[in-house]
Amino acid sequence: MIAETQREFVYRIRWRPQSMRPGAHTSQRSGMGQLFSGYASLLDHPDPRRLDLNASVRDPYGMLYTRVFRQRAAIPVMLLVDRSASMRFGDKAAFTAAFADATARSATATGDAFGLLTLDDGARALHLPPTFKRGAAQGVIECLQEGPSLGRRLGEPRALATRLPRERALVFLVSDFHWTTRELDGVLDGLARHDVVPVVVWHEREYSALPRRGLMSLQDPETGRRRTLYMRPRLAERLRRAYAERRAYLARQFMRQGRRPLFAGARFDASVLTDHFLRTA
Amino acid sequence: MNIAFDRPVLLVALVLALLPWWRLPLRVGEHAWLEMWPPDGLSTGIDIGLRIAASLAIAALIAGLARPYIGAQTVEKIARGAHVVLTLDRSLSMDQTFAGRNPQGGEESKSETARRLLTEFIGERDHDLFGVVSFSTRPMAVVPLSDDRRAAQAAVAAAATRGLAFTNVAAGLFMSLSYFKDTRASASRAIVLISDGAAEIDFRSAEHLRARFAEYDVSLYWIFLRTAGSPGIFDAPDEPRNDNAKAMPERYLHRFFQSLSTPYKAYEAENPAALAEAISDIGRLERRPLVYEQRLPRRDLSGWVYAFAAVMLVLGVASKAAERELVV
Repeated sequence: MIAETQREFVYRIRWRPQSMRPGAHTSQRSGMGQLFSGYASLLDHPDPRRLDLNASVRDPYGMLYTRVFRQRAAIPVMLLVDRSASMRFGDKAAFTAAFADATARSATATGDAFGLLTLDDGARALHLPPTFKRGAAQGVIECLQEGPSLGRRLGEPRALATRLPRERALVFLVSDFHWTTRELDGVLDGLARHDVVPVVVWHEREYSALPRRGLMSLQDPETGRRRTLYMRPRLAERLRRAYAERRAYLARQFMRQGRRPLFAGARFDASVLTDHFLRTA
Repeated sequence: MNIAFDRPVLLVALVLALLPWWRLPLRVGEHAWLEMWPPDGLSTGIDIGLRIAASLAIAALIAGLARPYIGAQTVEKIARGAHVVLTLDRSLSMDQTFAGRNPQGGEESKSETARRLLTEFIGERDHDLFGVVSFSTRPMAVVPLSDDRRAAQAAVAAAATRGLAFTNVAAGLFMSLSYFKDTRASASRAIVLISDGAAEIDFRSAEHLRARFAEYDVSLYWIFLRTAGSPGIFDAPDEPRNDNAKAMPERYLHRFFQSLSTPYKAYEAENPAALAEAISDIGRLERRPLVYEQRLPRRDLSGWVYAFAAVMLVLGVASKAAERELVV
C-alpha cells in the first residue's frame, strides 16, 4: 500500500458552491460560517445570538441588526480516471491508484464527497457516485491498482454527463491524454459544467533515455499497430520535440477550460498537488 | 534458359514468404502512444527493406529445397569446318616404309607416318567432326562421325597395327559414305582416303559409288602413299597392252574418281613431307561454315539460391543484432 507519510493534499476552488451541506468551501449561501457578508434586520434573520450591538446602536431609527455570515459548504470531488490501454505503460497505474487514494483521503479530510468514475468502454467501467462515507472508495482504489482494464479506447463521452453529479464539482481528470483531438474535445465538452483539474501522467521513459542507436519494434497498446523504428539521436530529439509540442497543445486546450494542467511525474507526490493549487487557485 | 525444379510441389510453401509482411521477428516493446513518433522515412525504408529481405530469404530457401536447375539443352553453333571421314588402308604394305622395306631402326612405316600426321591434323581442327573407317579385305567402322577428337585420334593410332593383305577400296568407301546418311547437309563433307595401293572396282560397285557420292555431296581426297618404284596415279602405261585396270589399278581408280560429279583431288605422296603437305592442303580446302549442335549438361542452381538466401539471412541477423528495447 501507499506510504503513510503525507498522503493528503490541499485543494482550493475559486467558485462559490451552492451546496446546502456545510463544508470547507466558502459558498454563496448565508448561514453558519466565519465569513462576514453583511448586516440584516433581526426581523429578517431572527438570530439573536448574532445580534450586533455596535451596528444597532449606531442606527438612528433604533433597528436591531444581526450579522450575516456565508456558510461554508461541501462540494463533490470527482476523480475521472483514464483506464485505456495506454495507461498500462510504465507505472502509470500505480500512480493513478496512489493519486486516487490521496484524493479520497483529502476529500474526506476536507469534508467533501468523493466519487470516482473511469473512462472505460462499457461493462468494466468503475463508478462510485459521490459519497461522504469514509473509506467507501477503498474497494474501487484496489481495483485501480490492478492496472488498466482490457478496454482499448475511451468510452462514450456523452455517458460522462449523466454519471457526474448535477451540481458543479471539482473534477480531477487523470490521464496521459494520448487521445485524438476529437476524444479530447468530447471529454472536455462533457465536463464543461465542472471545475476540471487535468492531471497529465506521462512516464518520462516515453520520451527520454531512449536507446541511442538501433532497431526498435514498438506496438501501440490501443490500436495494436506496430512500427519498426531506427533509433538515432536525431529521431530521439524529434520525439522530445513532439512531446514538448503536445504539452503546449494540452496546456492551451485546458486553459480554455480555465485550469492549468498539472504535469505530474512518474511518482505521486502530494505536495506537488498542494503546490499546484496554491499557485493556480 | 528455362529453370525447372526437381520437387516443384515444395513451391507451394512460397506462400510462407508473405509472413514477414505480417510480422517481423523483432522483439516488440510497448509504447504508450505511437502517434507521438514523428514520421520517419529512414525507419520506414528500413522496415520495408527488412521485410523484403526476409521474404526473399524464405523464398530462396524454399526454392533451394525444391532444387532448381537449368535443364540440359542443345545450343546451335556455327563454326568453320567439315565432316571428315578418314578412310585408312590397313593392308600389309602400309607397314612398310616409303622405300618399300620393313622399317628398321628409327625408320617410320607409312602407316605410322600417316598416323602421326593425321593425329596432328585432327588435333588442329577444332570444329570438325571426324569419323574413322579402316579397311583391308572388309571395312571396319572404327569411330562414327563425332566431335570426340580423342576417340578419332585413338582410332587412327589403332590403325597402325598390322593389317591384312587385301585392299578392298570399294567396300571401304561404301562404309565411309554410309556415315553421312544421318548427318545434316549443312556441313561440307569429305572423305580422305589414305592408301598405298589401289584395287579394281567392278562395274556395279562403281555405279553405286558414283550415285552415293552424288547423293551425299561428298568431296574426295585421295592421298596415295607411293612406294618407291611402284606405279603411280599419274603414270601413263609404257605399252598400250598394259593399259587396263588389272595391270594399273591406281591409274584406273584415279580415272574413276575423276569421273565423279563431286570435287576430287588426288595427292601422290612419296615421303612424309609430301604427305604432310597433302594433309595441310586438305585442311585449307575444307573450311565451309558448319552448323553444329552442342549439348550443355543440366546445371544445378540450388547452390546459388542458397548463397542468396544466406546473404539475405545475414541482413536479418544484422537487424537482430541491432535490436534495442525500450527500458521502462
